[in-house]
This record gives sequence, C-alpha cells and structure tokens, in this order.
Amino acid sequence: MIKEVVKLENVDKIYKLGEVEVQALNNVNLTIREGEFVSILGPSGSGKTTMLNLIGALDKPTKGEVYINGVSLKKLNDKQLADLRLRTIGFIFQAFYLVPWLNALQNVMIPMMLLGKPPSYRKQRAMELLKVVGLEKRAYHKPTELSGGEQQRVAIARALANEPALLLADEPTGNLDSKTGAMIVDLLEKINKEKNVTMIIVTHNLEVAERTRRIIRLRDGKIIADEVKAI
Amino acid sequence: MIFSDYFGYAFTHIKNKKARVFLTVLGVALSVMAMVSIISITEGFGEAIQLALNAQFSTDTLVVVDPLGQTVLTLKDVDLLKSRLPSTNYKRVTPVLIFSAEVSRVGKAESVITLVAGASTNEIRYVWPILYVAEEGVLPQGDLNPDEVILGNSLAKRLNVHAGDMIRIRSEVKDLQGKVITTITRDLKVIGILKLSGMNLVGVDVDSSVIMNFDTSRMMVNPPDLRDKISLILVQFNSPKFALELQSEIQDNIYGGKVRAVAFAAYARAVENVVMLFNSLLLSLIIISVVIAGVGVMNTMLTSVRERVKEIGTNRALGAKSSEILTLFLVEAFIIAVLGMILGTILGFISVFVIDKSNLLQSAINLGGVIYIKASPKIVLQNLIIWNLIVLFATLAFSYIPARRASKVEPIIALRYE
Ligand SMILES: Nc1ncnc2c1ncn2[C@@H]1O[C@H](COP(=O)(O)OP(=O)(O)OP(=O)(O)O)[C@@H](O)[C@H]1O
Ligand SMILES: [Mg+2]
Repeated sequence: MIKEVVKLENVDKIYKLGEVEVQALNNVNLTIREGEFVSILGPSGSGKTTMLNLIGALDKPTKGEVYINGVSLKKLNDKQLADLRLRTIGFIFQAFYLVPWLNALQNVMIPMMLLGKPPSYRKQRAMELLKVVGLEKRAYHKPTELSGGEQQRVAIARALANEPALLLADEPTGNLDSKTGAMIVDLLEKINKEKNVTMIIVTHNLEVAERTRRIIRLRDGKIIADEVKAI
Repeated sequence: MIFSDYFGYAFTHIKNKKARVFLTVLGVALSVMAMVSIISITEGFGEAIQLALNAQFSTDTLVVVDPLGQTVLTLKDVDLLKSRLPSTNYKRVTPVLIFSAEVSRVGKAESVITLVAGASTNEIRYVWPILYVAEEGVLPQGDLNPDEVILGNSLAKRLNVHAGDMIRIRSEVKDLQGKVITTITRDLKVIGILKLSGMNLVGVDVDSSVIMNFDTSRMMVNPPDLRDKISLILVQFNSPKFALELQSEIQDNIYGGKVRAVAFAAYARAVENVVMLFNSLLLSLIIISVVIAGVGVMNTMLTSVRERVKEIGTNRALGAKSSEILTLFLVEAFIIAVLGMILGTILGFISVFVIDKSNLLQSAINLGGVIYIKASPKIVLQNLIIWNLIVLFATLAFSYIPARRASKVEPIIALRYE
C-alpha cells in the first residue's frame, strides 16, 4: 500500500471573532498518498488556505485529527511541529515571501541553515536548486531585482532545500500572469514526477487545477467533489 | 541552527540596514562614552581626594587660627594649650609663622612674592609625612638651621634654584596696625627641594612656598616688641577622634570663641560627604547612560520586529523554532551593543584625553580655595570592563522584550495580509 502522507479526519475549523463564529472547514475527510499531485479548487473564502495551513502544521483544527506520515499533529508540541515543517514540508506562498535583504542564494539556504547544515554544503546545494529552477545566473540578486516569476522560482527552490516529502503551494500562480503561471506549474509538475514529492496546490484557477491529476473542490468549508483523472 | 549561523544571519541583516544600525550603535556609543568619561573622572577625583585625605587632612591634627584678628596668637598660646590639653591625648603642639616675602636667587634679578612658613621641621614632618619628601638635596631629620631653607618644587623651578644654591628673602616687618617698620633681607641656603605635591595646606600652596627655621622667621617678620607672634598652632593628637572632640574645647572653653580651632578630620568629613554625594550623582548618571543605551537598542528593535513580521512568519513557516527567532534577535542586539561599546570606549578615551588636557577637572574641584586638589581623569581598565559588561547585560535585558515579541509571531497571522 502506498504511504498516506496527509490524512484529515472529521476536521472542523472555526474562527472566533468575538461573538461571531466563522466555520472555515466543516467535517473534512481527506487522504493524500505519497507522490500524488493534488489541487484544491474553490471560490474565495471556501477554506482552501485554512485547509492548507492545517496540513502544513501552521494551525490546529478546532475538531478532528490531522495526520502527516501517519503521525497525529495533536501529539506534537510547538518545537516538534516546527521540526516537522523543517524536515517534511515545503511551503510556497502566493506572495513569495522571500527575505528582502537576502539574495536568491541566501534565501534558498535558509531552510538548510535552520536544519544546521554546514555553510559549504548549503551553498553548493542552493546553487544546484537554483539551477533546477533555471536561476543560477540570478543567485546574487535581491528579490527586488527579480521578476515575480523569478521570485516564485526562488521560493520553490527554497521549499525544496531540505528535500521535503510534501510540498504545499497556496496560490503559487496567483500573483503571476498566465504564461508565467503555466511555467511555474510545469516546474512543480516536473518536481512531482522526478522526485516523487507529494504536491498540493491551492488555487481558484481552473486552468491550473486541470494540470493536476486530482482535483478537490471546496465550497463553504466542505469538500463537494474529489475527482481523480484517469491517465 | 549552528551557533555561528545566528551571528552570520544577524550580521547580514546589520550589513543591509547600515544607516539604522549605525544610529543605534551611535546611541549606545554615546552612552558608553559618557560612562567612560564619568568613571574616569570619578576615579581620578577619588584618587586625588584620597591623597588629600592622607596628606592635606592629616586627620589627627587640628589647627588653631585667629581669622578675625581678635587675639594675637603668640608662643604663650602654645604653652597654654600644652597645659590645658590632657597630655596623654596629644603628640605635639607646634607654632607656625606664615608671611609673604620677596624671594630671588642670589645674584639674579628675578624675584617672586610668595608665602614663607617658619616652622619646626622636626614637628611638621610628622604632621604631613607624605609631603616631607625631597626631590633634590636632603631634608633635615631635626630642625632647619637658622640660615637654611627648604623650597617648594614649583618655586625652585621658577627661580631655577637647586639644592646648595643661595636664595635672598626680603620681608617687611609690620606693627599690629600693618604699618611697615622696616624691611629685612637675608641670604639663606637651600638644602632641599620638595617633591611636587599639588597641595594647599592651611592656605599655603606647598609647591610655591619656602619653609624656614622658626626663629629666623620671627626675626624676619615680627617687630621687636612682638617677637613671639605666630600665625597658627598645629596640634597633633593620638587619633582623629580627639582632634574632633577637642575642637570646641579649645575654641569655646579655652579661648571663649576668640579663635577658631579646626580639626582636619572635620574638613575630611565634609570632603568625604561631598565626594560621596558626587560619586552617587555620577553613579546615577552612569546608570542613566546604561538605561539610555538599553532603551535605544530596545526601541530600534521594536521597530525592526514590526518591520520584519513577514520575514519572521516566513521563517517560522519554513521550520524555525520560536527559540531560534528569540536567539537571533538577541544576537543582533548583542552585536549592536558590542559595536557600540567598542566605539563608545574609543570616544570615551578621546574625551578623557580632552578633559585631561583642558584642565577642566582641576578648576572644577578647586572649592573656594579651601580645598585644592589637582586631579586628572584616570582610566581604570577593570572598572571599564565591569561597566561595559553591565551595558551589555542591560542591552540584552532590554532587547529581550522585542526579541520575545519576535519569537511569538504566529506564521499564519504574519503571512495573512500582503
Ligand atoms: N484568522 C481568521 N480569523 C477569522 N476568520 C478567518 C481567518 N482566516 C480565515 N477566516 C475566514 O475563514 C473562511 C475561509 O478562509 P480561507 O482563507 O481559508 O479562504 P480561501 O479559500 O483561502 O480564500 P481565498 O481564495 O480568498 O484565499 C473565510 O470566510 C475567512 O474570512
Ligand atoms: Mg487563501
């Protein structure tokens, strides 16, 4: 049997804003196996980011259980959650979130620095990763000197730094034009195929979603469809 | 994270925020500079005071003077005190005659008006042993011979006189009304020159004075019908306690308030109190400097944390532990503090040098001519190190607040808004 990388069991997420309660997720059940390329599609406010944050161990469900590689996140303390994010999960954000005062190479090295890898190793691997995303010539440029698509590719290289088993991307093409967006999806697809990295892409763009093999549709915090395309 | 990476990351950030970091470092540096100057001044002042307390204020001694001219002190008063004071309490009662005279080197035209003290060197050298040290020649173990003198250091330099040279002293003999009766000129042999002391004793600047045989001085300044007139009487006791206790006994009981008896210990106490006040004032200034340094760094860091929320949130999402974020910010504060301390210490040394050269300190503690001390700021490395460590500790303590705030940044909240 193929390993279950992500498993959500009866997950509710309710945000409390004073008196008002917002139910962002409503009894979500979901299993994602190793090597899958999944998109989560839904309109704005449907709970996509909320779900991704729960999977990424950035937030905790109000009810239910989240398992990563079979381990319940409930059982992990803050430090262990950080460690899980560091070693197992890679994040790609819509707004890239590169550190503005570090150059591309230094940005890619951050996760390896956090992991305690020696500087020489970090530099070499960061260069390799920049080569993978086609930016080895831009290694010493600051984010402000890079285009949006280039910044997102740096962010992808950074997400790959510690060889995560699971890559989470929250609208990775949301701030890019469709051509550049398509290129980013190409890159993610390639990484998924070549490295067998489990990949979850959040999007409200159907074109992007259709590039993935499995599409999970969300509406009002509920999964309303979960289709796997035949190859 | 490897320990050195905290420094690497913090250094990279500092390098990219040079302008702001420079201002913060400068803030710390100015505080440290003030601190270094204040400490050095306090140190130099304290040392000078200590010397003064040991020498100028021979605390076991009191001086009897007649400041208002109500009573003419004479040698009879010396006998009176000896008979009235319990003999077990005092060591010596000795008269001193002070007058101004014109002094020149024999054969030279240049002359100086200065103070001459006629006294028994066999007595006063026990009152001020620290000052009774020759730079040139030999100081007598007993009394000076009638034709011998000892010169203060500056006076000897000024007149270019050495031990063995002859000097000429011209004095005026005045009656009680101050009318000049006659002038007397005598040539005397310089047998010793005192070391530079910077001291002013009972109104005489030691460095520019002449000490002569007591009887010779009487002949040079007292009219024939008042040969026994003296300027003051020194009474040295067995302990400062007696000196303090017997002040009023002499002044009020023996003399009915017509003279003043002042124990040097009383001066010493007053000065000690002033010094203590001075020191505590300076200490509070130092503490204020330290707090200013700490608050300055804290303030910059609070702004920095606010600006870096996205970066912190991203790094947390990438797997940084909150303790690592905390350490990262503390390390940055540490680097800023150390840079400030280095710059501040250098600036402090410069300001100490300037203070020293400009003699600011000397005039500052020439308190109305009564207490006159030559002090220079003094750099005591050990104190500077201790205080710099306190600055470092304070800066880190103040930085803990923003650093902790940084470590509490929640990634989902930090990353929600673009
Ligand atoms: N921290 C929060 N506090 C309160 N409500 C929140 C919070 N985060 C999300 N919500 C609410 O939860 C619901 C789901 O939000 P979520 O961000 O998951 O939507 P989304 O599908 O990612 O939308 P979008 O496509 O606009 O990014 C929304 O109604 C949102 O307003
Ligand atoms: Mg979203």
